[in-house]
Amino acid sequence: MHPKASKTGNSLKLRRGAWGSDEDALLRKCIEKYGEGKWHLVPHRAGLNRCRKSCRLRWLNYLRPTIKRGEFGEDEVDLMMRLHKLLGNRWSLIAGRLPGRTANDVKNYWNTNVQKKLTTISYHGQKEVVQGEELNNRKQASSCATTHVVVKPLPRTLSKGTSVPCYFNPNSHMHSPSPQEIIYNKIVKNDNNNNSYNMTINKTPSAATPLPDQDGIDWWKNLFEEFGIHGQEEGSLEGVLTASSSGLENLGAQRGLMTDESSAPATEAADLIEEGGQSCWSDIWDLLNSDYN
Amino acid sequence: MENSTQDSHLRSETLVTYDSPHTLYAMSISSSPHNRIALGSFLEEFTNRVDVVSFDEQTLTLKRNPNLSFDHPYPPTKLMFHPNPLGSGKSNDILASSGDYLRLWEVKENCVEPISLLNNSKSSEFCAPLTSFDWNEVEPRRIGTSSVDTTCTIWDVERGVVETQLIAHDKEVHDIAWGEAGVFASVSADGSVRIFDLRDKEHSTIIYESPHPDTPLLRLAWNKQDLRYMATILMDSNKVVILDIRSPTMPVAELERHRGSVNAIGWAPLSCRHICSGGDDGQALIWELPTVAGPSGIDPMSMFTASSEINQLQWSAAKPDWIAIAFANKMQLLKV
Repeated sequence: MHPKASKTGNSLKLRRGAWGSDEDALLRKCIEKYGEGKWHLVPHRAGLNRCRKSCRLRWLNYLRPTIKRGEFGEDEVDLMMRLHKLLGNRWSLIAGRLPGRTANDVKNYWNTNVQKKLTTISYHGQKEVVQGEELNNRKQASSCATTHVVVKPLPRTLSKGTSVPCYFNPNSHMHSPSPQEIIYNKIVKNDNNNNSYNMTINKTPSAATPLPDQDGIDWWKNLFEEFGIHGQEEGSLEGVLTASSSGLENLGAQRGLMTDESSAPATEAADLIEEGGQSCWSDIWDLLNSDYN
Repeated sequence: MENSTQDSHLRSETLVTYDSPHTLYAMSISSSPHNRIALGSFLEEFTNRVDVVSFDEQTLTLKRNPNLSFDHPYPPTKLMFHPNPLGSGKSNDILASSGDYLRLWEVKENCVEPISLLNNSKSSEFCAPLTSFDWNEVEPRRIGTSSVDTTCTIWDVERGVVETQLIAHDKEVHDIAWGEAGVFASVSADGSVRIFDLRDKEHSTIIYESPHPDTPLLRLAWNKQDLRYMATILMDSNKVVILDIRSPTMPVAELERHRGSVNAIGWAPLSCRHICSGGDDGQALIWELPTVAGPSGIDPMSMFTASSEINQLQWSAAKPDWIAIAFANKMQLLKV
């Protein structure tokens, strides 16, 4: 965008570089008047020849009145180091625990003051991990100090308003789609006409994020095998022990509560609502109430 | 048993009360024949207590065994007995607690002895507080903890080593629940419910996000009878959100009849359609999830009112017709 902006004339050329005190004053005044946020409006409102990102950063990192200035205290540095050990270079998380400090200040302090020290002095040495005066058995406790890799799984979000599409696998008697189908169809944004999820997976070997191998998706299947998605286990759930007294008879509910009307057959819906159960429970609980009062 | 004290009063057929000297928060009911209930104090000081009381269903009494009370550093954020005591290979109850660290305790006949203290911090003196944990029923050597440091840690408690530690969320993780042997879910102050599969640590799956960004989610209960369903609660909200993992991002039901914040939820151990919730309105509500929600929402099927805010609730797996609630310094067993 910059080449274009510079072509159209000097008046549109945004100012860059250090902020002047006059600019700071304009930005302060603007935010006093309109509050924080809506950064796209700020340059115009404040009368600043700066981009919105520049305005936002100037405010968040320097002008905000809640920002704590000055040297980091001993306690702050201590906490910063502890948090850094836990969180790594996640500056905003660390700053969130240091009242008034910005992520930017924390990062700068770390990079200029702490990091150097750490490379020269082995940090804190290796102290005994567990004080454990209450423990008789210390061998277990000390074994915990071994280092391990911290993994960060990438969260994937499924699109909002997903309604469960009804795919049929011709080789089985499934009435409703298995979750891996749903998920994979959503994840790979697959064409809805493609009814075979096996094909879906095979067709997208080069998705940006590597698809988990077969193992990785098995759990969805495992999860669902138990309650008879194939329609074999209706009414066979164990532990109907208390059913007679408490109206839990309808455990067989195969496709269950609250099924999304748009997606799954609600044929058995009516059968699942137990008439007697409710009054029975209420009575008992009414009794409880009177007992208590 | 000679040093047992008789602590229960207000007895009736359907209600047993235990008065504790402390405010109560954490609570767990053992599935072993000992019929024990562990109760954690909630005191704003370093030294807290865990008491163990035993429940006699014949006489409807709760007895505290003073020999089984022990000090706990900080209030336990959660207590949980071994989920499968018969398979644990030990005749004694094993109790886990979370707080500054994850700890395991052996509850013997007349004393409680620490088994292990599990600390995943590589460095010495610091460990981010644990908000909660869950013991894997299918794979009892696994305990997953959740922490304010945005991570979940999966422990192999038999070997006392970290199996894996994951940065699970963008903010504090408030609760964790196992679905099956290698699958767990967690909720966080970042407002999301995420599912993790230990066989694929590349990804997690967000199956719900709170409607107002960054409204923290506090508790998570995975329906053990029907793993498609889980329930979560939001901070300062009277809603219990019921999720179906098949239709991610859209709750299948929202239970909104509490008149104050909901603090605790628990699925029925033997029914896939019943859930109990307790809240600041002092009410414990049992809900039966209908197949189709009416236009006016879902009403609870039964209700119990306690004399103050209910902070904790456990539906006994061993005796499914009893629900334990904790409010102020009382624990009550309610027969359903």
